[in-house]
Amino acid sequence: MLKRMGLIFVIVAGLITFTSPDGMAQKFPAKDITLIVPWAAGGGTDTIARALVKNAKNYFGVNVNVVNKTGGMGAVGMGAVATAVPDGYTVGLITFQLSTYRMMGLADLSYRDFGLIQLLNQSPASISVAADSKFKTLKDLMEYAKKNPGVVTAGHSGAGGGWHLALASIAVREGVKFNFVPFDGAAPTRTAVVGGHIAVATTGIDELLQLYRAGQVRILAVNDTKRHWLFPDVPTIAEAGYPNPKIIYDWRGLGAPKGVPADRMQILINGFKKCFDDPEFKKLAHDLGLPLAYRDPKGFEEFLKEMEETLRPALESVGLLKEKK
Amino acid sequence: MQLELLFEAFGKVMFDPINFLFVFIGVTSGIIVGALPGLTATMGVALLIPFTFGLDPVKGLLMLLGLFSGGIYGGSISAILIGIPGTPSAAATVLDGHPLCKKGLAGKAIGMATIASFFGGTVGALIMSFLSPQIAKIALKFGPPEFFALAFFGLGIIITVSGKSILKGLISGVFGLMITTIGFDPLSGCPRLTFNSTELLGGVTFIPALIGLFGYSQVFQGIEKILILPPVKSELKNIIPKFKEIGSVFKTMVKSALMGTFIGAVPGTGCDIAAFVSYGEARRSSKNPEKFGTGILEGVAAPESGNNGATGGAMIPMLTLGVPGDAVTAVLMGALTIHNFQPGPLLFRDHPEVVYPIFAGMILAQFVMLGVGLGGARFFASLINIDRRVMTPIIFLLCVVGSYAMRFSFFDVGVSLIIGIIAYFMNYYGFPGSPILLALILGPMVEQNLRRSLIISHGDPLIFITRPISAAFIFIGIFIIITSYYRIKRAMEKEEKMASVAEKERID
Amino acid sequence: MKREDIGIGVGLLILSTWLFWYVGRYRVKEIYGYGPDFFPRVLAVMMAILGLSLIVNALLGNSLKMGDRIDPKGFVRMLISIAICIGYLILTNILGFATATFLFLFGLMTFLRQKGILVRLFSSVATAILVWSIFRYFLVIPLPEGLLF
Repeated sequence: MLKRMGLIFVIVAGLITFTSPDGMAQKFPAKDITLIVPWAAGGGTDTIARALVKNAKNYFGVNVNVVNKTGGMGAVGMGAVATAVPDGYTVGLITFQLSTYRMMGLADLSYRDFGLIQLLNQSPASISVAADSKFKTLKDLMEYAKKNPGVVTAGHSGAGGGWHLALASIAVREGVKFNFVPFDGAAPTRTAVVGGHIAVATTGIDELLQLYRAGQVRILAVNDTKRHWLFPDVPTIAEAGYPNPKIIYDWRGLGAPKGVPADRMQILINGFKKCFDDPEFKKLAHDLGLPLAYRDPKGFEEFLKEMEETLRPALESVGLLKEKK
Repeated sequence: MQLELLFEAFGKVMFDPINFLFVFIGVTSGIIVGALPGLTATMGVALLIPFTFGLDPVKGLLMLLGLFSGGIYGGSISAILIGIPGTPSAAATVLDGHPLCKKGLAGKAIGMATIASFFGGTVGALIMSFLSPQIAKIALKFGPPEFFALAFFGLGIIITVSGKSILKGLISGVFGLMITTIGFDPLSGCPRLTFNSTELLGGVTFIPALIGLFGYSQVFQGIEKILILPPVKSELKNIIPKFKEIGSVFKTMVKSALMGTFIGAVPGTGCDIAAFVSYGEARRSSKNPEKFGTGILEGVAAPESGNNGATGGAMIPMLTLGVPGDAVTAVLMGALTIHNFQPGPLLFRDHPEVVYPIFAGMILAQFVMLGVGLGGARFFASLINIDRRVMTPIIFLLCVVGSYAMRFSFFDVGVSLIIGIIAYFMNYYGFPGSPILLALILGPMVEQNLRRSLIISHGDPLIFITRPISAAFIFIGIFIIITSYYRIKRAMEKEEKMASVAEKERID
Repeated sequence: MKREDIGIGVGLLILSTWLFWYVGRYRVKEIYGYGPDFFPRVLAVMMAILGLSLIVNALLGNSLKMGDRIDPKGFVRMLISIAICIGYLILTNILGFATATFLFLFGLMTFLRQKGILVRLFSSVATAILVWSIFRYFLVIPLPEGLLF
């Protein structure tokens, strides 16, 4: 009996060494890579992820498959990336919300739990009204709102999201009180402003491209230091008369679980850089109005560190700071 | 609307065998994906997007549209055969479709579902082709109070899908609404009832709940009673319903198709709600409401015509406003964007070369669906003749896999199993599952729009009745709740009387 | 099912009381007082009313007649099948999806007393391979991998 057990043990041990990746010659990637997107299929983040890895086969030799793992403002999907097996075959798209989970007391998850790969884009917020609104400029709006505190309804795409915080931080600095109306995503927010259900909407500027071109919305300002190439007549926040030293950007990037072997990490970093430089991806981003902003892992880490410093006072001003100290 | 452009597009799509082939592939894979519990049309479209990269965008879109139509229809097959809706939109089809199967009429039920889906889908696609801009204008009038009123109206359907006891149906409904409050609250940025679990932050997801309510509960009951239940022999002749049978449900199909298209066109409400509303209205306005739920063709025709009508409807706000009508069109919108056609008010002007083939493709997809569905109905119906001891483990497996596949999460499998055990007991104590499902669909919509409206109105509840559309829905909702309550109560009393008379006769 | 209805009614009353109390912690100073605790509390009140009606209804003797009863032997069989399922979920991560699926199907069919080892073998192998290849090649969904596949 014992002899038999021993035999089985030897066979099983042999199988393990034979099939486990360490026992074989190292070739990475030897199979398709999975890219976890923490937001629903069809949304802005998902579209960018799919566009980015469209030609990944040319750069990795294997496909990069997008899978959506949604829920909890992205925490479920990003959490799954952080805890995935660190063999380099699972990477994830990480987004703005990662900077807020810990401060909002939602989940114990931050950029420190990831092996960072690259920053993809940083989008500025915009402040917009319906085309027939009485507010012609940002000054009109702010002055009216100052005189009538809490009257102007301002829609945003979710409490604690980048757009909410961007407008809230400006409002706090100017001593203006908006009546914030949270929506579930960008699409309902922009429909509500066009339909006249809210007075002002704050969304990413690229999300308004179609409505802007069709003349259905007026964009009062873009919360950035320079004008956007597809919205040449929209003034920056400083040009509109409200200079903003600490701008909150929505950001997206790529990360892997911590502990991926360094050589594999390098392959991922180089490969995704090539995906980023793919002319087709660049053209699509340009046409959609998505401001791309590459940063290498080190630069990305600095960016995220700064982001948390910028966000803390903004979250505090809207009463969402619940950091455990 | 430029008719010649539409006809030209028709010519191109219909008579190009390659285009036809893509629609065919889309519809067939849609039916398979739709029929497998847990794999929804939404997921199918998302999974096919990478395949469209290498294709000419129009061909890719034709395949995706075919998959959308086929997927919504395909859900009815598993709903009828095993009582598990393959997609959420087929949940209302279970109510009468599965009893028909138990009577041995699976083939006829699938035939009816196919014809009703084809009819509803065609009506929806035609309305989409000719009335998109007009309907888009109405959709813009929907603000938070209107969405709340619409969801309230939808919850009124709980009464018609309550089974034997309206009180127990309402309890199920409120229980379902309670479940929807678990998770992250997007309005305040606060996690609720999550007990510090990151997984629960996402709430109880819909698909695992659906599989638990209808799938596991069926499987558990099947295993418990496996040695007792007599085998069902499926009738394989007369798959295509007789002309008279179609005629008798024609009015219901027309009404359901129109309601379905409209509900689909409202952003945020999709095929699942359309099916429930169609079923509820068919039962409420029927002369014999007591027959619903016992296995009648009208109870299959109504939801199937409604949910496929909603496919065309849901495309309208996506194409014209850039706002998806439901989850599937949200993914389609992503697909259009990746191919660099951004949906929105300018799509019709700037890219007629994409818009008109979409219209033509959607209509063509309905015909392909009719052909594949009727052709395959006999085969599907014969599946039920496989021995239950082989079939039950396989269905068990499909439930596990289906609840896993949505987010490839073992957590979801666990949630689904727990809900399945609860649903198994609910079944014995007379609590129906459909109201929970309806509540899960409508719960977030009710709560968020209620609070959102009250924020806009500075806390004044009058906002719901001072706005015309919202007031109309609230009043129609109240009217429907009251009339269906009385009609169904009377129907149940009638049935009880008949049952007791029958019992007396048997005793005598 | 008078007794059952009363029991369930009491259970619902406890649930709604607990919920009403528990969501109090989510009360935030939000404008107009419709914070995250508002909707759950409305539901708790509704559930309490419905639960009470269920009890009253039962006491008045208006309960429905009990339909099918749970078959005790069958119930045990169901519990064992759930245990088999949990075992299967654990095995997928050790043996890999396809192998574990085959064992699960074969095991469950045997447990449900399907006759003929060839029928069981063939149908479980075929289903396992079919589902595995649909997921692996058509849907490209990552499946748990183990020692085998």
